[in-house]
Amino acid sequence: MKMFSIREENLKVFLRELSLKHVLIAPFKRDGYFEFDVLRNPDDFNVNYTNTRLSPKRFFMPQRQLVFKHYPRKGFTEELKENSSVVLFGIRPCDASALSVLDNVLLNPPHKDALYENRRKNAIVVSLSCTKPMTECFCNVFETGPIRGTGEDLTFTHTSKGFVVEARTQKGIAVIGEFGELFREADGEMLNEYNKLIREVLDEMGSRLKVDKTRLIGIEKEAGEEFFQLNAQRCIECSLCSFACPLCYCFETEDYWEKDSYVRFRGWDTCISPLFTKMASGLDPRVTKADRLCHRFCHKLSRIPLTFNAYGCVGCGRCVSLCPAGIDIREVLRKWG
Amino acid sequence: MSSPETELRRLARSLLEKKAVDLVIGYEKSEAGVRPCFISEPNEAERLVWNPDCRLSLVRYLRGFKEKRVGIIVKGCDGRAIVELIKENQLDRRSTFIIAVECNGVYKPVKYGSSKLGRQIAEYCEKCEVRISPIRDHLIKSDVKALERPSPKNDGEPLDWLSLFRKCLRCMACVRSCPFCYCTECSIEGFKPALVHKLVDPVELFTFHLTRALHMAGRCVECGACESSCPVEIPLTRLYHELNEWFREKYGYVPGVNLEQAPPPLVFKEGEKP
Repeated sequence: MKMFSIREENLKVFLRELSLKHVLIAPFKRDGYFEFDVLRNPDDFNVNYTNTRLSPKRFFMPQRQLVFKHYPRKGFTEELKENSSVVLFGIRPCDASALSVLDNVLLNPPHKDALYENRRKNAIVVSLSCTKPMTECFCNVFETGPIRGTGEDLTFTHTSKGFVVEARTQKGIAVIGEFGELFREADGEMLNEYNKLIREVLDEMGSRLKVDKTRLIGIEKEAGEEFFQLNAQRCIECSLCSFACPLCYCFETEDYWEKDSYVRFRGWDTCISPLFTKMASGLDPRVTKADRLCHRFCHKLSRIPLTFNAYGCVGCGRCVSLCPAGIDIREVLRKWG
Repeated sequence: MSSPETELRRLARSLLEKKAVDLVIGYEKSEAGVRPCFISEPNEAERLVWNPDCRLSLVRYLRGFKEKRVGIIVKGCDGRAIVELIKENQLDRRSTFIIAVECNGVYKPVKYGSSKLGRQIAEYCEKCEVRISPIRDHLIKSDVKALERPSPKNDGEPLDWLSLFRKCLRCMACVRSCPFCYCTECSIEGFKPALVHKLVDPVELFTFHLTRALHMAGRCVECGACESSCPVEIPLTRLYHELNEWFREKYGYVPGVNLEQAPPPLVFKEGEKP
């Protein structure tokens, strides 16, 4: 696709213009770490962030959202409100790729997820390339970064002479067209630097973890192995890994009576929780912690690839860094990849 | 003098060789830092490490090994947790071999997406007065000097707990890492009866944290396991510290320092007013 460029000082102008027309969501510092939120003042945005503590999936799949209300006399009311268009600026390529995997899973007919689609269809995803990947990251394994991912509409890359902007979709081209005066075509010198940067970052990341991802599908056969039992001893069964993950999409629903209507809410759930597979009869197909842990990794690395032709992990490294017990998905990758 | 780490390894090896314990719970090095490890073979003892990154309290793992004889590496606060658990009848002292290591404070974790990358002593360690476990079978002295404690900050500034709790994901990391949360079913998760909704409701987050705070009052040993595992950095120990201070004033009770002193909620005194 076509390459453009924007000068560094014009970025703030671009953000300001964007925030006037759309709901602009970008990362900024809050209480000692970076988090996505509605960016009201473009001066709060600083390019020098690593990544956000929590993943941006909550803008498309909130932790708790209303599905419908049922009034006993009037019948059902669906709660599908048309959302104003959201621009997610400064998302990292790994998280953007996670959104494309989510699209794959949730927007594939015949089982389309209307709630997700409603939030996703008007969203514009603008990514900012990682030029200094964190130590926990391993996006090179799944080819979801660090410079380009899948699922972005626009990709910004910071170089010494401003930002190289790549339009990846028609939506992205439309945005560039909208703010045409701020962008110009990227010149050869800039593109050279851009290509050099890609090579450098990829080399640096490639030296950390070399994994043949196609072999990971075999992990399913090893279920119940010693490795998972060892890690299960460590696991404290919190839901942190799933809640922080940019593409854990399991949900649960809850119905109750509220004032004058029955309501149904939907929200995040996690397969690490002992209650996840517990059925009303008392039967539980995944009784032990090792089973559940094994399931989590098998689902991400074997079952999602077999069903949806995409990996269930994008290598953002959130679970690696946040796990209180130090359970590390990279060990799984090394062992079976 | 040998370093605490070598002494620790030697001790763990000899305990396992003599079959004095079935397994030793300690810390090992991992790619991302330090993590808990469970050692049952004498030659695995070399994996054990000891450094200021060993922050997660290992005491919570003891409840998984009730039928085994366990050696456990404890800091001052973890030892206090053991004392308190013995008083609450949750732990068999005879089947636990307590290896106390002198603790000089632990570092605050540097987590994903932090804006600062420097190492810094954890806030709860600044307040700590018990650096060696009050209950122990073996003591390992530390050779490193205490981590530098920054000059005491003004603690009086009130926190906006409502907005802090609103950030909570209810991922249960605080509950699950806590030595004292040994209920088989957490009241927050149960659905018979359901005290709170299963899905996170902003108002109920307050209920959750207050329920937990009330259950921690006079028991919390301020080991910081909850605070250091929290993904959104809610300073929970500060809340529990306040409650502990209130407990100390009201009943003269400090959790975990004296095995003989019964916890005030378990004692009935005639004529006592709430």
